[in-house]
Amino acid sequence: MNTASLLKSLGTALLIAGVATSQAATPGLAGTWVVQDPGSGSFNEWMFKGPGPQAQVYPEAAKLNAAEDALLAAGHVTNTMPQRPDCPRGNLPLAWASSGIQTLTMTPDEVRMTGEIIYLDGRPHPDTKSPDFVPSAMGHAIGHWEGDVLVADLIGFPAKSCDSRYPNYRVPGGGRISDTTHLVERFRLVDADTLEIVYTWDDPKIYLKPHSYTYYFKRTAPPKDDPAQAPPARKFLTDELWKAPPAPAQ
Amino acid sequence: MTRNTRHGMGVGLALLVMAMPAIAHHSFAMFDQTKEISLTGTVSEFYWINPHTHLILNVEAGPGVDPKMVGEWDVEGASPGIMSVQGWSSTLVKPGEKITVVANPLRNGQKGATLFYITLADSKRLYNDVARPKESSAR
Repeated sequence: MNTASLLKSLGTALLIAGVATSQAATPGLAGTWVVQDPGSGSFNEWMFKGPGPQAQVYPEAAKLNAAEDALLAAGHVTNTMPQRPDCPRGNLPLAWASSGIQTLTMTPDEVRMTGEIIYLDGRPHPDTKSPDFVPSAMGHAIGHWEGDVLVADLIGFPAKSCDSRYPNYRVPGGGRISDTTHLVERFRLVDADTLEIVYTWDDPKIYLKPHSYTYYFKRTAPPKDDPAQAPPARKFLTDELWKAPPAPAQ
Repeated sequence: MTRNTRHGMGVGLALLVMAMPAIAHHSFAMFDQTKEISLTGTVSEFYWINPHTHLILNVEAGPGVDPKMVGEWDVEGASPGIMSVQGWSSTLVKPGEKITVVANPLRNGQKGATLFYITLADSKRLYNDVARPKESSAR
């Protein structure tokens, strides 16, 4: 091989490597997405049973789930925790399952979606055992790329929730969130218009083994602006019915 | 008007505004989400309002229609923002249009329900939110 063809081959190799690196760094996750229910039957089934296998949880967690579900089925309020100013707001599993458009934005240092911020700048997780640590309903997320897969690692969830119908945030498939919960999210583009996210939850107080399920999102354009109308003078049936009876004394 | 009065009115107004969504937005415990009903009727009104849209549907007596279902139904939907993602708009259903609604009824037996989906005259289905019936297998 002469020098010219050697240089040409080297140039081609560098070009391919450059394109591959560029694609790996920006695999096109940014955009507006809508989650796809494969056919759960209702939003409750979609949100709480989830799309995958049911979680294998410790008997104590299963008992708590059953007791709370029974209260809810009887029409009672299941979470009476006061909404104090220090109460973490938000609900990560509900945010991911929800029906609205999810906007994913990316910079080299962070990815944002559903109120979750995944730091890619190399920072470590904070010390969640420190008295100064403030838990977040969206967890503390740090991420890295494994080829074209964005892997996010989350800890730092609150022990209890005041911003959910349940005292602990529920995870699709029968799981729960606690202050020792660990979540791994794996983001991958299946094709240009399909985003796959695999969620794997673990918690020494909740799960007998890590609990995984997968959501698929379809890329969508933001809807055309069609502002809501002004509230009408008429009353609707649900206006007077929304107050659920309080939970029985526990 | 003193400064304190103005401040008090401002705080009161702010609290009222903050409370408004809480007044109108509600738990879904009032609906029996284990039951699905199908209503075929004529749209009389469609309210494209936050936090929940309302579809007012008149079900008329006829062959095969349960007499208990006859009358005016208030079918509550998700917010306009959620429904527009599913293809809805403020003018999608119009008064006088005949549609079929699948919904979860109120537990108390009144003619109210929370929307699952509608089927238009041309057989097109429109869903309330991301939830899909169990018959659907498409991802």
